[in-house]
Amino acid sequence: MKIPRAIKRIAAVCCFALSVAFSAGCSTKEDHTLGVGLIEDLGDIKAVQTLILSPPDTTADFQLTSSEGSSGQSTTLLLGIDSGILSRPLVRFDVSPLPDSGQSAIVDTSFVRFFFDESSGDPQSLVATIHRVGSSWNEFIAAADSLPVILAPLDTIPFSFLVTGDSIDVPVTELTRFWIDHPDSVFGFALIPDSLSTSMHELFSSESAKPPQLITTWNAGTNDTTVTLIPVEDLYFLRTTSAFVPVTELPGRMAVARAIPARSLIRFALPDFGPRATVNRAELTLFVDPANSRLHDFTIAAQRVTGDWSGETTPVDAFLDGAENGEFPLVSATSDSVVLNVTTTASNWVQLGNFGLRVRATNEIVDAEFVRFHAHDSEDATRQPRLKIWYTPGDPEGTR
Amino acid sequence: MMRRLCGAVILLSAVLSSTARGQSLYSLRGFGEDTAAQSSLSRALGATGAALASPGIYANPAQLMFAQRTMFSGTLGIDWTKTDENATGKSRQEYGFTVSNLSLMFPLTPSLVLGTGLLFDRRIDGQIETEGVIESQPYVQVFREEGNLIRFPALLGARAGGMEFGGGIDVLLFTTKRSWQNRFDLGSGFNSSADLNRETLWSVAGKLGVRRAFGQRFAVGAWGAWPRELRGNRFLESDDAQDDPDDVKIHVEEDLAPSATLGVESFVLPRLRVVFDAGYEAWEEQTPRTPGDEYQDVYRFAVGVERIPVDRSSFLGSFPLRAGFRIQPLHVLDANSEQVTEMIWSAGAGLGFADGGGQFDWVIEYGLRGDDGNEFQEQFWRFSATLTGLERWTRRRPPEAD
Repeated sequence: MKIPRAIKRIAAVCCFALSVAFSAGCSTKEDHTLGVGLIEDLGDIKAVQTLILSPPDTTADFQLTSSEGSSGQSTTLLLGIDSGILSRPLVRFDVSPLPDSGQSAIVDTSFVRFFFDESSGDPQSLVATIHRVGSSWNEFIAAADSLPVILAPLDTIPFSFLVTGDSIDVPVTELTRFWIDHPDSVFGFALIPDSLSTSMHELFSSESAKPPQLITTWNAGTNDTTVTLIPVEDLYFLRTTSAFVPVTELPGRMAVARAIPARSLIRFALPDFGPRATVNRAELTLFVDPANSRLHDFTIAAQRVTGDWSGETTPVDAFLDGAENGEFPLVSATSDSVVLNVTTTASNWVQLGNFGLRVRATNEIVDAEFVRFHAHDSEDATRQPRLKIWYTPGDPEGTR
Repeated sequence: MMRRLCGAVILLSAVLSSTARGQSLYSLRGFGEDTAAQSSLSRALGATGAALASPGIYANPAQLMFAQRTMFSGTLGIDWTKTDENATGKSRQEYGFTVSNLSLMFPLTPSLVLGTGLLFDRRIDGQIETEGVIESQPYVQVFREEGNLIRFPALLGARAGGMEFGGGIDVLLFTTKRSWQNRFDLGSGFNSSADLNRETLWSVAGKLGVRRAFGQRFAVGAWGAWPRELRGNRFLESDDAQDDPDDVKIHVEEDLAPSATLGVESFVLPRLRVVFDAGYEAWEEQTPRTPGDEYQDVYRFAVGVERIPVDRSSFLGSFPLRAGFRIQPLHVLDANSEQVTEMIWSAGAGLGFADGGGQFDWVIEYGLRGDDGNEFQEQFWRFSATLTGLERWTRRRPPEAD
């Protein structure tokens, strides 16, 4: 008997429909928590493990002899002398909104208002002289030792700040009249601390939320006009004096400093994690020696060292590691310890070679503070640097 | 119309087969789950094939001699597996979809037949997740492995002295991907890890088989396969962003077991065929794939019964009806170091079409793996359909004939 054609078609269609229906059901009702015995049978070879290393193989620190780069983008202007570091700020305003050249006589008063952030050293011992600058400068490219022409002092100003937010008005009426009459000579002014000063003041710069203000009042015949200008450029020049003593010369400690930067080097001896090991997390804990530090607070970061150590020329990766959720750890006067998330750096140690890391301030041009940490040869073994690594093991022979 | 529809089914199935997901959790051990590369006809008879008078490339190569005309066949399979974990009481269900085999058989002369094709022999597919805590930081460890063992036979069958002979080679291709991941929550401050092992190994297996009929009602057959060790490379990869881009590459050799099968076919009644196979696979001599595996030899017993169609006087009478049973232990012990026994009951039928130019066979299987002393108890259902085209069906007919 011949099978009816319709039956054949029905059989084929049923097959097609069944295929589609079962395919649509794929990947449903899955529960992947069954069968963990297999992972145990495989030795749980990829379970995350931890490792704590302390003390490090070695530590070192060094301090530069001058500041690095321009301070033009700093949010502060440093003024003063402290611990053998001299800082002289320069400020320049664009005075074109003021009366035209030849009309300087109508200016009644002009002064620059500075806002105080904080200071180091003796906060009440700062006196500075104000000087007209006689040549051009550029806040972006000014090198630390390329001070422009500084002319004779115009006035002596006591800077007696105490509280953040305090302000002081520096009278510059004659200087402003000069700039109005000599628009080709508007190179700003410099503040030079008295050589007997023992304080470093941090004034808010034009890059901050409370920039210096040039407040000028004049009367063209009927009404008083007052104009407030903020600087178009400002920066400070740093150099060391004969009283300078590097902060790195304390045994058993390693320093991180700003202004004249000091940086620390640390290297831990790592075991062989096996090929293809993954560092899930790594934390570097540094213990602060508050008695031998001078700071309010600042953030620090780590950089992977990429070659042999050689002091300030030690090669490092440009990437700043150490942040937790984008925030670098803050070390303050009251910190007992600080923890850096150095997962990226430790991953690179495993993959690319371990030359250690360098610890530095994330921003080295804001103030002249420094912190000292216990080093690998600290007399207190419980406060030596400590590295903790969470890792997924690699593949040693026999487990591949 | 019929041909187009069947072609569409095959094509769609081949595309969808890539979506197949994890099946037996036992498949994660050794070389995985035996996915039954046989045709639906054979599987309906307990997956026998040593003495079965039916053409095929999946078992005894002497079976080639039953290809009277050029034949093409392909088998599609869908399956459902339910796994119960004895220790935890947890349960899961999954579906899968495969193209089990494709075969071509060419009679070169009346006494010499060439056979080739593709046999989807074994499958590894599964994922295991376990929660871990490392110093109060939780994470999820995810193990996943997928892969398969495919055979590409190149066989010749011959008839001489009243016996059928067959032999040739199977080219074996074994590919797996095994991944380990440790997943931490985003924002936890921990990096997740992901390691991947890829393996691509190949080998050849020699095959020989013979079948001898004694009269019209009884035949015996035997065949064996002797694979060389699989050889190839294992690549250790990682998706760690800081990882060295060069993968670790390792030369790998893995052992497959040789096998031998004896079988009989008997027409106990003119319209009732009974087949029986006894097979052996020597796994205990082989080195396990991973340290966690423990091999054991496999003894397989299968039996099948087929009612040959009586006549064409009625619709139902024109169908062959088949039933079978197969029992074997898996080649790897479970996590408790216990043997896992697999039992499969099958039933199927067939349908000829296109005036004898084609055949459509199907089978439904129900199986059990393990008992309450094992790591898991699994039950599964499989449905497979084999479409076979014979020479006349595959040859284009003149348009006026349509």
